[in-house]
Amino acid sequence: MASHTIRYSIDGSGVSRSINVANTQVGVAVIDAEPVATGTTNFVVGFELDVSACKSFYINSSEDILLDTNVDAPNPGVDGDVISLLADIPYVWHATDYNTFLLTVDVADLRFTNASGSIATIDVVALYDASPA
Amino acid sequence: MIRVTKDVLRQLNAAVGKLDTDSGQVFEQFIGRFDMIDRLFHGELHFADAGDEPPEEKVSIQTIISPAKPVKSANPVNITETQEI
Repeated sequence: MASHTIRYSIDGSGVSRSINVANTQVGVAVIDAEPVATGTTNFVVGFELDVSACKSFYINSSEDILLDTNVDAPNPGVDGDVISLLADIPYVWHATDYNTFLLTVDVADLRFTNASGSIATIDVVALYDASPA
Repeated sequence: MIRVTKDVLRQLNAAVGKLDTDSGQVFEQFIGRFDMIDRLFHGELHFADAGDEPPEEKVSIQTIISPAKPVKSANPVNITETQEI
């Protein structure tokens, strides 16, 4: 079993709070500090995820970068999904999130396009229910 | 600031290090960010001085970033059929 904790905190104007959202599941998929050179179009990184089984998801890029899941997706929701990641602004989702998961199509691989001018470092952590359906 | 599609970005990446015939400089890179609203990459072209030994390979960056010219349609032709009685 693996446990993930997503931590939300606010510190300002006299308010200081920190709230943890923890999740424990069997399946884990990780990309740890994958470098993507600038001037790269559709750099493929191996990563598979059944989005319906996903319980917790975190992705961060150290630079502005475009993520395309699966093939180059001209029709998001059909071929894959597209997320424009801003430098060090992570995209975080968990099963009790108020918002729907941006990844709507099962992921066969991740494709990154980096035109930021610098090497981007990618981190992804996904927790999923690996129990048989 | 220019806006390019991913396909044009791919061509620009392939042109890195080549001599731009329009500016006489060496194309270095395109630096920008993808905009989810218009689904284009917004950014700037970066060039360097060609120096005493410019690269042999040449490219026209202007041609790459210029939008494709629409194909001019042929003038309609009126075809009238005559029938001899």
